[in-house]
Amino acid sequence: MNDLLEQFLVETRELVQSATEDLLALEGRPGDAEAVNRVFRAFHTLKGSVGLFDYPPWFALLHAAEDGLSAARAGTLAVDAPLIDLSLEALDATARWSDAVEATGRLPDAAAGEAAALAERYRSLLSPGPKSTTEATGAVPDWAARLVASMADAPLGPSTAVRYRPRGDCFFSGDDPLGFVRKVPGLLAVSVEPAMPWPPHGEFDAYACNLDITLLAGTPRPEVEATFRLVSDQVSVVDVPAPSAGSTEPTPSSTLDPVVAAILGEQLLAMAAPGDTETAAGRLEACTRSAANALRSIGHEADAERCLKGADLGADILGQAIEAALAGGTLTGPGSGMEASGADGSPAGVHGGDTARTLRVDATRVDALVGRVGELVVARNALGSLAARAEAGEDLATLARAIREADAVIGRLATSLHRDAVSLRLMPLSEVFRRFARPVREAARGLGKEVAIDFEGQGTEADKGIVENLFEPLLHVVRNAVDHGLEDAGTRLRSGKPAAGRIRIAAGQDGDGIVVSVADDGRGIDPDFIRKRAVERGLRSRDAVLAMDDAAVTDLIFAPGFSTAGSVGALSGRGVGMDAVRAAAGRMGGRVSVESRTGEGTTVALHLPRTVALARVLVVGVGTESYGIAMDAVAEVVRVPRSAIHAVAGGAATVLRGRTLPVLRLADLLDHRDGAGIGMEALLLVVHADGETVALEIDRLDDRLDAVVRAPAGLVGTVPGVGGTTTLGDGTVLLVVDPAALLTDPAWVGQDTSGDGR
Amino acid sequence: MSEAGIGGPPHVLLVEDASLVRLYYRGALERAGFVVDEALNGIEGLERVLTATYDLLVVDVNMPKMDGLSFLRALRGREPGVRAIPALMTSTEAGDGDRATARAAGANFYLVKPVPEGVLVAHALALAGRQP
Repeated sequence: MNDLLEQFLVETRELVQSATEDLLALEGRPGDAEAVNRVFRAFHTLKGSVGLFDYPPWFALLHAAEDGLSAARAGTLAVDAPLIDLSLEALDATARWSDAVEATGRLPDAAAGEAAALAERYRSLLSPGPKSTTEATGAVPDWAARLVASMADAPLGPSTAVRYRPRGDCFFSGDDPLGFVRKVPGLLAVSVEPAMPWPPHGEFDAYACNLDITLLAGTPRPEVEATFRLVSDQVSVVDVPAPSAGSTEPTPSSTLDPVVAAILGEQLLAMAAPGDTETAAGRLEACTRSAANALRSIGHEADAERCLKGADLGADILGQAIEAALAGGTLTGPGSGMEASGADGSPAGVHGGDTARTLRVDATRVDALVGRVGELVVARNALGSLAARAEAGEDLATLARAIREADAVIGRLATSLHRDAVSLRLMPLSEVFRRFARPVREAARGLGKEVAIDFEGQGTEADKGIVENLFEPLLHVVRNAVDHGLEDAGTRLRSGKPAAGRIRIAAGQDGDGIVVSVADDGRGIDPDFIRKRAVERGLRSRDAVLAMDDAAVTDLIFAPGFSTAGSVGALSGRGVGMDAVRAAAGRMGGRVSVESRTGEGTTVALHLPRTVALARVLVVGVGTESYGIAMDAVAEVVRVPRSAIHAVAGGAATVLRGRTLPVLRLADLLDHRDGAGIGMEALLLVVHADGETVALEIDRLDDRLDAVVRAPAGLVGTVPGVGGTTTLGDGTVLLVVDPAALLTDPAWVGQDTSGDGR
Repeated sequence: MSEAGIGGPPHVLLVEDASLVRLYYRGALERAGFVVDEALNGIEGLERVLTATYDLLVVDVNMPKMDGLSFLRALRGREPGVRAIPALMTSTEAGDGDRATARAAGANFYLVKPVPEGVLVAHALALAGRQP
């Protein structure tokens, strides 16, 4: 069932996204019938999908939303702000519940209340004024409740229940009880029981009616009552409110298996239905077989045979046979079929913890990959023939040339294969961009600003890991732009700008990487304000900020501690989260930059890699510091007694499994003074570097992680032995040591001669 | 009489365009012991029905190329045997008109989507003549 849930979540998110876009578009163009239709279809499909699982409140909400949008589509409900807002809220809830279901397998506890409230708002949109009267109906009588409970698919809306106890002599007054039942519009369920216990065989009166018929119809009460107008003295009709979600508890039925009874009843209706004459024979045969199968499924072979024989004599006789079986069913004791859909009828075993994310891949890319693999298989065949030629004693020079050719072909294919495989993880940034229309609208609305947002370069592609992590930092930037960058309409008009602010989110290739920028045409960042703030916050001295040029000062907005939350504005404090944005960019292996012109606007750009190569990094401690070491280089980690480390000429060594390894202290290599190097045992990393194997002594083993390791840049680039840097979850930068570089570094080569380093 | 014989497992053909629904129905029916085939629309459905033997059809209404109603009308007009296969129609439309149209087209039962697994299985077994 996990496949199903996985696909459901993917589809749901897509539908929520597309419906959100259409709703936002409808705000501007309420008359767009196509968009209304698309939104309706989205809710309709969402409802259908949610219905596959056991989430009654969710389903009820989507059902109500579908009703509302259906009315909008039909033109009976205005497509205006209340409907759009409500529908956006419904989509919000749907998105949140998808997340909850993915994470926990169930809806949040608050979902039921929220769903009911939202559904009620749809209903009040549809019927303003006093609430419908069905809710005022008192308790539902037992027999009606039993009927509802016996139904496996309980009616979703209000229904009408009828109890019909025909008079004993009704056949003589020309009444046709089952005929009436057949005519009930929207018949949902029928139950036929004996009104009195059946008399002993000898006293049985075939002409006396002894039936207690209860039925449920999905149609309003007046329509149902009309059907029974001739026998109104023998029926009681009650309104049954829509079941509160999830509350229907099947109770054991004492009549003919309700599924079988319903199928038999349906065949009666089907035979009475008008239809083409060419298909009449086929339909009758299908009804016969359906009725006979249903009876056979509960072991009523005799009744089944009667139906099959009756069919040969025509629809009427078959009808009588079915009616007889239906009535006779009252004698056969409890049904057995409904247990199958009993209390635990939940179709979805969604409680599994497997939440592996799926990746949607353009089919052409998969095709390319498959094609490439095919070529590789063909290329491999060449190796077999080469082996044969070698066995045949072909001369070595020719053979070597052939092998080199084969190697070139396979090498080229392997490279392409790698590129194709990496491209599978590429996804367009439109996935992220499309999520912005909504927050921007809300942010602008909350501030009473007008904002037009547009996008550029949505087709730019990047690794799934980048695209999926881009939203949060970009949202910080966008919110800041709306909150602080853009002026209110009055100010804008006074400074000769259009009233509506403009935000452009753009993406493009930038060498090997991508750049994603958020540009606003607002007031820009005032360098003097930043100077003042930086000094206030104690980030820089007054002299320092005065010495810095404006661009360098503007960069200070990314400094940790530059801003405090909640200082200005409801959405974001001034500059709030810009250091978080920088940290996020760092975690993805990128950086962030800002460019601003006073009065003209601000552009914040994230420079990110296009593909991500994750490296497994071991985090080790030396003294109070932590360093990373690429796990590839580490063969093993061992603890040895310190007595097993011996001073040798030019250093220290230990014997591991009969092999002598030089022992180097990482603290010495990194010129640390505080590396302890004490204790009874030494912790050693056995490292392969440049064809050598050495043991590196460390103080602690902290962690292992998958990280994006960037080539060292700036000052760090000059530190010997540093292979790169990576940003940890908390934003701190970890130096990743390159053992090979460290070991060939002249600093320690020199140390080599300094005698016992210990 | 069941064409596929009483002895073996019942064979069902799903005629349904929505992949998610097919996946769900397939799972439910397979757990109930059915052997499941799939067709994505009415045309594929007819091809299947005319080349294999089924105890039951589970038919969607709205499908591209040929919808479920046209499929049933075409089926019920064919030769004896094939035309008598019970058909369980499932649809998101819950109106009386929809049910009546389905009956007239030759449906033997009509369930409104979403169909809980237990309900689907109970009706499918009964229509196919199998013990629940």
